[in-house]
Amino acid sequence: MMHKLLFILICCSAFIRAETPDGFALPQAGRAFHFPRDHGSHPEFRTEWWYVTGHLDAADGRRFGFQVTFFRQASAKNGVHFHLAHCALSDAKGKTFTHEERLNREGWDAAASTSALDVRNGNWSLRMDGEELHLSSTIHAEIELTLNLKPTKPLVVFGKDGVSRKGAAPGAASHYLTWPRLDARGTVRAGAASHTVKGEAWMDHEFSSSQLDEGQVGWDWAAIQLHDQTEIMVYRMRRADGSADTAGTTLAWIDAKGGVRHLDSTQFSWTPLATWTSAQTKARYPVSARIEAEGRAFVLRPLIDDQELRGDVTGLSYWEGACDVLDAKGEVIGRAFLELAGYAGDLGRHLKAR
Amino acid sequence: MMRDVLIILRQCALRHWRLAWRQQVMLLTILALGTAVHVAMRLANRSALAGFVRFSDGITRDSDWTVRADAGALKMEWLREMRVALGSRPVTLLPVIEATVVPHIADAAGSVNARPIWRLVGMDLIALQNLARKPLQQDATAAPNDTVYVSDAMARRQGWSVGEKIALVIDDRIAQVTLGGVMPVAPDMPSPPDHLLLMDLPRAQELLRRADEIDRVEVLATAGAAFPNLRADVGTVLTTVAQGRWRVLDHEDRRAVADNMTSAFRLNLTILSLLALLVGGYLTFQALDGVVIRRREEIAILRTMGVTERAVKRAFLIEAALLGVCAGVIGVALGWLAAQGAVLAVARTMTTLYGASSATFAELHPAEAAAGIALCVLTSLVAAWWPARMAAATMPAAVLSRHPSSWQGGRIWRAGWIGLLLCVVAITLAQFPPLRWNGSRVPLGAYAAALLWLPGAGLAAGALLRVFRGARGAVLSVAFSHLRRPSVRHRFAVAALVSAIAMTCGMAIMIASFDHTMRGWITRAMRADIYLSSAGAQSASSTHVISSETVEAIRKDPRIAELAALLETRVTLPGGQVHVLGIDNAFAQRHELHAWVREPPRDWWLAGDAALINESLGTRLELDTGSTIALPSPRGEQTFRVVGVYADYGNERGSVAIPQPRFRVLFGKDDAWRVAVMLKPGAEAEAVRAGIQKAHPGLSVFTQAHLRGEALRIFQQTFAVTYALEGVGVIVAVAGLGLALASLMLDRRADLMTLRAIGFAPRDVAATCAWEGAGIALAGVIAGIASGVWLGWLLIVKVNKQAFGWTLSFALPWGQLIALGCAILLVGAIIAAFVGRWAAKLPVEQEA
Repeated sequence: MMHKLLFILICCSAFIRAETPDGFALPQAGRAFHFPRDHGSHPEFRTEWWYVTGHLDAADGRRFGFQVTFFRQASAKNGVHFHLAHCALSDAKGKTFTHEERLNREGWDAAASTSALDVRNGNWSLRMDGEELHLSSTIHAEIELTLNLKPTKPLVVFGKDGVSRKGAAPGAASHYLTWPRLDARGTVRAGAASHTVKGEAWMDHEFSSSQLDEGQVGWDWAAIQLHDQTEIMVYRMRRADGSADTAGTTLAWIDAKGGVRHLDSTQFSWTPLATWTSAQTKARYPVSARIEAEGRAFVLRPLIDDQELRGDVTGLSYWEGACDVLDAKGEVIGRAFLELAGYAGDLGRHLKAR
Repeated sequence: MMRDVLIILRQCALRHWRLAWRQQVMLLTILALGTAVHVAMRLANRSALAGFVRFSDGITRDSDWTVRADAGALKMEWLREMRVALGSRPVTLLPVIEATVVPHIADAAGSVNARPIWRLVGMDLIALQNLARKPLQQDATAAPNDTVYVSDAMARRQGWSVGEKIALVIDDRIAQVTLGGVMPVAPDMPSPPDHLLLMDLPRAQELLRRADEIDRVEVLATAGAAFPNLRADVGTVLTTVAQGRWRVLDHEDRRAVADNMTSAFRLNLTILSLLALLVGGYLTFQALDGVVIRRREEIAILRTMGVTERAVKRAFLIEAALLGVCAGVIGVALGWLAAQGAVLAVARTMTTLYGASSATFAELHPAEAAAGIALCVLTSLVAAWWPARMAAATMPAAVLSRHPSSWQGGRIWRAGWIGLLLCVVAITLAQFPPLRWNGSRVPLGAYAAALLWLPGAGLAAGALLRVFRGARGAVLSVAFSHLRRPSVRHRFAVAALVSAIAMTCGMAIMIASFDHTMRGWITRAMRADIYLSSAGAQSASSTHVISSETVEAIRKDPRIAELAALLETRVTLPGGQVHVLGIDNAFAQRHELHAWVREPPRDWWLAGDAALINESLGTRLELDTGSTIALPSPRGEQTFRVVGVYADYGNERGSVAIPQPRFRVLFGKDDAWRVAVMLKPGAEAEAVRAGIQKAHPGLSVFTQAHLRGEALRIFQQTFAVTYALEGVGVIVAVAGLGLALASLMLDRRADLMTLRAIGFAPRDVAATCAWEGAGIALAGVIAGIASGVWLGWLLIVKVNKQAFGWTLSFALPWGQLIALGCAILLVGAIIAAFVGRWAAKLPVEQEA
């Protein structure tokens, strides 16, 4: 009898722990993903994003870096879902960085399907049709991006048993799914000129309910695509004193066939090399870094220094930009996207306030 | 010659300005007041219109397109269709729901239009942050459900602070909202209007109980290099996919809609302000005339010194222009100040009529200021033309011998036929049909006729002075001898009086005719014992309804014999919105509620496509019995046959009445706009009214007598501006008479001295002047009232019929006209006596 009662209590406590105090789901180890449903939205989790970054080359030699992100965030206070979206384009030749932020409540003009990948915010959209993804977005009326994205490597699920840890607290984790390499083809209309482009993209789909752990103020993240068809995903959650939270720091190697190997914080290093200070937000970003692991060094060098998204609507500023990847000899061996969040204020506090 | 002109200006004009500064101040004041009235009217007019058009300004920048349904509301699901059709085009679609609301005041339930009218606007406050960059607060959706935001000015005026609970009447309910904060003011956008309550869209829809509906979509499509033709492109796409469900309007279309709705009202104001300026012109003439007479000696000396006629004339005209500039600047400033007050009055009138205006700050644009000054200079020059010629024609010998000026202003001014000619032209113009465009009509011919009629009748009236003859006694003989040979000055004095009196009489007749017609119509149309409407229904444009549940609850009262609900919706037809009414025909026929212009057959309502229209709509769209009218509806366009036309002074937008069953099918609405109740014999109306009011505090409940009184009160309020102008007319008339007499006496200083020399006592001189003034006043009153009657006829039969489509019965307020005539005669004689007393003491050699 006692054993039976204990068994029930253990089941209940496991059930209770699977939720945040305000009722949102927490990532569960061993979760079985079903597609295309799991490419879609998971409204039982508080936060979710579909994050497409990539590098595009035009026939005339112009190079662009792009980022299109769709966020979904549920309000703890009344359960309303907000859809935030960012779109940015870096023009390496023109040394320009253009971006737009928008925020809508879930409804007629912003939504994410719960059955497949079909997410939209105003006139921006990302949807999956068979094996191909279609991305359409604009930046004001100055830039239009229309891309077809086709995965060339299998989908990767990061983290142990499908849970990507961001901190020591049980809830500080996410389900983190990635296409590390997609063939990207389409057009970039920049001003009056239209460019036919092709290149490679990276897409993250992540959902969680308590991303930042107590004391964390931001994170550094990079998605590295090497010419040898391997990729690296690396992040480190930062504390207020600038140190990395070891429980929320990891580097994942993705081999040519899509196999993943995780390294913990003791097995790699992240060293800032150069900083850039934003004239608008006064934030000082370490826009260049050296990452060393297993005897190899990768230097991330930004295409242009100013790739700061200023958070015109939400007030959340961060740096997210296209970079070249150099080896120890200084040769370009790949391309990367670097994200530096929490340098323009305490991100943890800001997110809690919302 | 220019040197001579400058010498005259310096030695003569400026010295007089210094010595006779009181007269100069008076002259400046007269000119400035004329300009001020015109400028104030223009500014108030424009400002009130701006308040009417731009009620959503301050929340977003002006949108590129506005999408509205032709009939009823837009459905939320259509927004998605619009977005899909627009594809990747970077366009912001801002859905808006809106309603007029009034504060709930427990003890004001029985009074219509006694409360301020506010506009509750629901917009997506989250999406709005993408444009405003100044969020209302961190998370607007996290605020309590009933949160509203207002302008800083409104919060201060009402004495509200954050957290304030505000009770509003919405339909037949009283809803409470909470002040969440003040709308931020962005530097590149106009400040939010001070009658606006802003609410998050889903919450506003919930509050208004219109969950899936919106009233309009504001479309922002800013073109960029990648989308160079975005605006036009978006307009085409949205129009293409509309399929009759909505209409895509640009800024000009929106302005045109507002313009059409208020054009008649605004044109009336503009014409009135021009009339004020015309009368001001008479005053200026009389004042400048006096200036010339005072300086005759100096002019004579200058002429003997060899200064040419041209130089004298030019100097006077330059002086007049300088006066015009100074007075223009003062007038524009005064006008701007007055406009701040007048805009409130105009906005209130517009709110009463159209329910959608706000009193905004009356801004003065540099071009308007320049136009005001130019108009003042022009008036001054026109008014100075004759006095300048008179100055130039001054004969030194005549002046030195103290003779009055022999120059009488040329034959053209003394020819009565010019006045008669103007009157004939005016009568001809009055026959012209109204100017039509886009469903709107402007009685341009009738307005031009009014403008020509006033000076025409004024000039022709000078002939009346010749009838003064055969007087006994020296005093009367002297007085009448001047009138028998009237100078231009006499004629202008009469003309000024005639213009002012005619204007005043015309207004009085128009108001009396309205009053008479309205009373008759109210008596006929308001036969029910009790009337119900939402307490929020404070204007003709109110959208508040009484739910069918409330109507049914009231119907159960055992004291009620019959209850009829009037259903209503708005549709857009050429020239603006039109009311479509779902009527209980059996009730209307049983109680003969309609006053017919064209009576329909008694069984008209049996035909599925039969409709009644009101007279205003018939005139506007040129419809009569037998015509067809196509009404947009949520079920597509429906064509109706006009079988009857009824008189309706309740709205000038026009209305179409169809039987209720058909209305319900077409528009899917069952809530009542108005409810009429017939009581069982013996039931006490006041007791029933009080009972309903207590049970439903969100309703306005009127007994028949009370509603009739309220209707007349609102009618009077609508004409508030006109009453003020009547007063101005009387003051101007009397002041003009005083000025004219003063000039005449100054000119005749030598004659006065002769009269005194032959034994006239100062009393006799004063009496002579008083009789002369009374004669002018009498001629002015007789001709003024006569031409005022014609002007009244013009306003009633032509202007109102053409502009509003209302047939009014002509009513002459005899008592009022006789009282006005007597008052002007009396005041005129008193003023003339005062001028005479002053003239009797006038030393001949004094420099004025």
